[in-house]
Amino acid sequence: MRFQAQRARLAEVAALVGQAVSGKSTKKIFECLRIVAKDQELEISGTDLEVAIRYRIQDNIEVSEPGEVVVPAHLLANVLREIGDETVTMEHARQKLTLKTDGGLFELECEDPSQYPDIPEFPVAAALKVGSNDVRALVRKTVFAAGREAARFVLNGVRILASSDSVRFVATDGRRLATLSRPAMRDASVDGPPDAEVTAIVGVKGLQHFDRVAAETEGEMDLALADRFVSLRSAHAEVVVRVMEGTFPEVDQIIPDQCKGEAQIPVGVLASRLRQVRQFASVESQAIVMQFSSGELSLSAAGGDGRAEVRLGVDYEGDDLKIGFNPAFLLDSLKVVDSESIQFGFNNANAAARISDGSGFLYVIMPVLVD
Amino acid sequence: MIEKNQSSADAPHAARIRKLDPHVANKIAAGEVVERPASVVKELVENALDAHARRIEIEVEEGGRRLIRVVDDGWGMGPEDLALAFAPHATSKLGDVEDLESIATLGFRGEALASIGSIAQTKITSRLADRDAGHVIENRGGQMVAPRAAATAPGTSMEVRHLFFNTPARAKFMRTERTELGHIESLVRKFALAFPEVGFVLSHNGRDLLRAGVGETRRERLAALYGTELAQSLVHTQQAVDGCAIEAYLAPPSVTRPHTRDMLFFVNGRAVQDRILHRLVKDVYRDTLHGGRHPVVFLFLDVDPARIDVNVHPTKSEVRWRVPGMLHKVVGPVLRSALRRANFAQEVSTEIDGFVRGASLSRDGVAATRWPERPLLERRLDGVRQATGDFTGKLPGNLPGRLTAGSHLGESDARHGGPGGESAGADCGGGPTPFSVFQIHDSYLVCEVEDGMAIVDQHALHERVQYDRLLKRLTAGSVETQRLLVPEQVEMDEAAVALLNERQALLARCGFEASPFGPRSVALEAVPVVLRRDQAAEVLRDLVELFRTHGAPPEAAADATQRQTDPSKIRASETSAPDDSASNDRALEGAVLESAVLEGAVMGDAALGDAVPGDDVPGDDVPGDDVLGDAVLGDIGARTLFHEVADTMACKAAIRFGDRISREEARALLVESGALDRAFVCPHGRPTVIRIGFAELEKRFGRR
Ligand SMILES: Nc1ncnc2c1ncn2[C@@H]1O[C@H](COP(=O)(O)OP(=O)(O)O)[C@@H](O)[C@H]1O
Ligand SMILES: [Mg+2]
Repeated sequence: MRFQAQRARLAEVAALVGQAVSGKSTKKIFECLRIVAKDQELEISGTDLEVAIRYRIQDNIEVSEPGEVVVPAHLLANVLREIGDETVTMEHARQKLTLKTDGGLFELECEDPSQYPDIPEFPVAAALKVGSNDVRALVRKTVFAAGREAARFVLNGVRILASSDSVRFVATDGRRLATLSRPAMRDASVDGPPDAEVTAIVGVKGLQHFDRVAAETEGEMDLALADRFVSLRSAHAEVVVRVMEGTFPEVDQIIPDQCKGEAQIPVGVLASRLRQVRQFASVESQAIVMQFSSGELSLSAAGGDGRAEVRLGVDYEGDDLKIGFNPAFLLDSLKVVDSESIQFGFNNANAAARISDGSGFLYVIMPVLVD
Repeated sequence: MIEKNQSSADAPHAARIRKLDPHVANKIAAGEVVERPASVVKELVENALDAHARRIEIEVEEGGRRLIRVVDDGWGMGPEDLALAFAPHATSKLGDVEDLESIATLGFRGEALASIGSIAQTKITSRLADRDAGHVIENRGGQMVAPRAAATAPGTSMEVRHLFFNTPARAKFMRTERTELGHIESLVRKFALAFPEVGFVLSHNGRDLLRAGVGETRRERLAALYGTELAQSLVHTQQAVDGCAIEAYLAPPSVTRPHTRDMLFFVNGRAVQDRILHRLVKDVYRDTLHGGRHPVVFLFLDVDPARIDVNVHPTKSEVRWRVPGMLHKVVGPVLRSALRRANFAQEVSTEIDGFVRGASLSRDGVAATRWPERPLLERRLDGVRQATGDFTGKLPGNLPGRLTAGSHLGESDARHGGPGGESAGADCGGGPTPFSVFQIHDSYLVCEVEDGMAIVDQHALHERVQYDRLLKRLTAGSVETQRLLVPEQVEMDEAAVALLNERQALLARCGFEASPFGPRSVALEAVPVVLRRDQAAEVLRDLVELFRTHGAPPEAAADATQRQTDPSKIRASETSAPDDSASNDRALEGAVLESAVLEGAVMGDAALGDAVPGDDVPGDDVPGDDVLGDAVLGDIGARTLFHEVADTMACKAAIRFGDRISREEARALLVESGALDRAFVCPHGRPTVIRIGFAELEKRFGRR
């Protein structure tokens, strides 16, 4: 194998792919990425068996001898970053990958490519078209609500539901739930069951790669939910995420469809007041109390170090209600809403409350009971 | 007197009921008083102490069977006293019946010498302190040899030979020499502890077993008896509360024993075995002990003799508390706060290769603890505050009381303060200034402390923190509950489902809500805020086991629970108006439970409150002595349950070994734990922190 490529892009791609590769593994090969040089195209891929990333570089490539090589991902990315040359030549011979620059020579030990894990091909038949901005929003507005507890716990994933005209992400840790829906289009060129809704649960790490790839993509992307993998594809890159097994709670049963009380609350003010008050919440309870009365919301917290109460004007008419929440859960949602104010709906101190921002984002939060 | 007694044996023989021959009566009484050689030693030493001896020598041969000789330098006896000494119920210590209510001497029954004299060959040699010569009297198993003059030092020498020589049945019950000697030795130890100012020598077959000098302090005495290391590790507390003088020496929780022999209780100088005290002390240490280990505690109580009854048992090894609630109310808090004041951390030192427990405690036990220093960051924080105060020309107003350490700050610390220091505070929202800490192997935290370094077991420390929080919540009200979006189904057996359903209020207090969901599962609707969600089910199952083993704390609590547990209220979340009624119900249940659980203590206190002010305890008139006692135990029972609940949950709620935590989390943990009581021992009594001082580092690196 032998090729010449633009160093900057190669470095960038090696770093991106390197992020999918585990830094520390018992088997050396799992710390490597794979480079395949074909007819005027480089394919660089890496995986930790949960997530796989595959990049294609077609611009400014000169492949003089096709081939395949598996090299330590982080070493390669670091070398490419440090050398300042415009272009770099790579050559594979006798278990070594040689990098040649103007005045330099680097030799990297290679692993056996036949041992490298296979990365599934993109399942074109299952694809939907989704805007890259929508992909980013879906990730950003849900992932934070996913669980972070024991490793394979299904709530640590995000559930993706795809129908012929929309994609929805749902994440919950059992105490709060975030969901967002975005329009999608079934690729007209492929045939499949027309209206069937498909669903899959994927881990947060994979979705972070979705976000990275989407960030450098303009326009539409392909999203495919297959049996064991969910894949996202742009013109140059593909992220493949292994699906998590397990049953995810039925979302529609969780979201309260009716609320006895609804308040319109300005986001910025609420967030800053929450941050003021939360300092006083006791470490044990992590709870603040929201008290709604006509036109006003008071936030209070008390703990060993003192107590605090702040008020803000809100758009609310109805009975008084006192309800406790983990302030971190509230703030998490306020960080991701894009609107000026939120709609806060509730029923009683024991039941789920609902936050929406008018853009398809819905947040359900369970109260904390404080005495 | 002796003659008179003997003449009563000549009563008419016609009646079938006749008075026992006094010699026989004495032998029977001896059966009660003199169980074994140690009983003789006890009586003789008590007599010596009652005679205000300054020095007592005890000589024993063949485990006491052959000889027990107790020589004292007390006030002695004259020939008239000697003539009466062996007479039953002859005592110089008790004048009339009222005296019985307020016994201030160790002996008072006037029975001991009579009993001992009847079953051994006894010789008393005694000389009054102000006389030139002494006298000797002998009693050979009831046969008296009249007193005669003898040359002897002031004081008394009691010689008891051939114990049980005329009661072969008794003699058979004697155990090996070793066993009998063991009893004697532990007895003498107790005396020596109770009377540190008195010198004691115990020898066996001519060999000294125990030697304690005259006029020692209690701690010196503890060192003489238990070794310097243990003695210095003991925390001392001394307080007078409610007419009760309490003095205690408490070992760090890391020092434990598989037996209870080193849990010693003294009431008015008398070593006692007391169930209530035993449970109380175990309760104080409960959260730091495990695996059937027992703490090391020396507890000395002095109370108005009128408030106790020692005349319960012939050997006076038990006392009856006329006001049982007193112990609980008065002694418990003193011990608890003493333990809290002392933080026990392990320190690596070269003095002994390995760990010296509690070595940082000063000789008097409390004040001079070098560790736990507050972690460096906290002092830096003080520095920031102090500097801010200086900068604005006045001290900041709302500082916690621990500002004082600011003056220790070195230059590098002070740098964080002042006008340029705001970024330090700003990066954690006014939180602590960073200090060096890092995690190794995802298991231990290594951190910088004032005079060296500390290694922290992250799980153990966090468990300690969580435990304290949980226990506080459990005793004060209930553990905070996070409701779940989707109830989680938890499988368990039918009995467990039924049990949980019965104990809804208790469960709520522990932070759970679960309702039956079919015969063999419950729907978990709310879990404690501190628990990781994936552990909730497991903890719930553990709680079932705890509830099972504990039964309902006191009856009343169970009743209250049932009354309050109307299923429609438990499910109030769906139906109730937005007035928070469901949560009120819950609070109410909690309140009812609380009052029921604590009823015992309240009753006890009420009784005490009545009795104490006038200090005029109506003795046996206090109604339901035993009821009060049980109520107190009931309270301990409820608290036992809470301790165990906290224990179960804390372990699960804590960071585990192998959990990677961020530097901020590590810092937060260290700061918070520093503020906690007894943070340096995990709930199971293992240390959580090992400290290595500069001195040690320098030694190991060969710098000095
Ligand atoms: N070592 C002693 N020194 C002085 N007096 C003693 C001594 N031993 C006994 N006595 C006297 O003998 C009496 C009887 O002793 P004892 O039979 O033990 O009864 P008690 O101690 O209950 O009075 C005591 O009351 C005391 O006056
Ligand atoms: Mg006596």
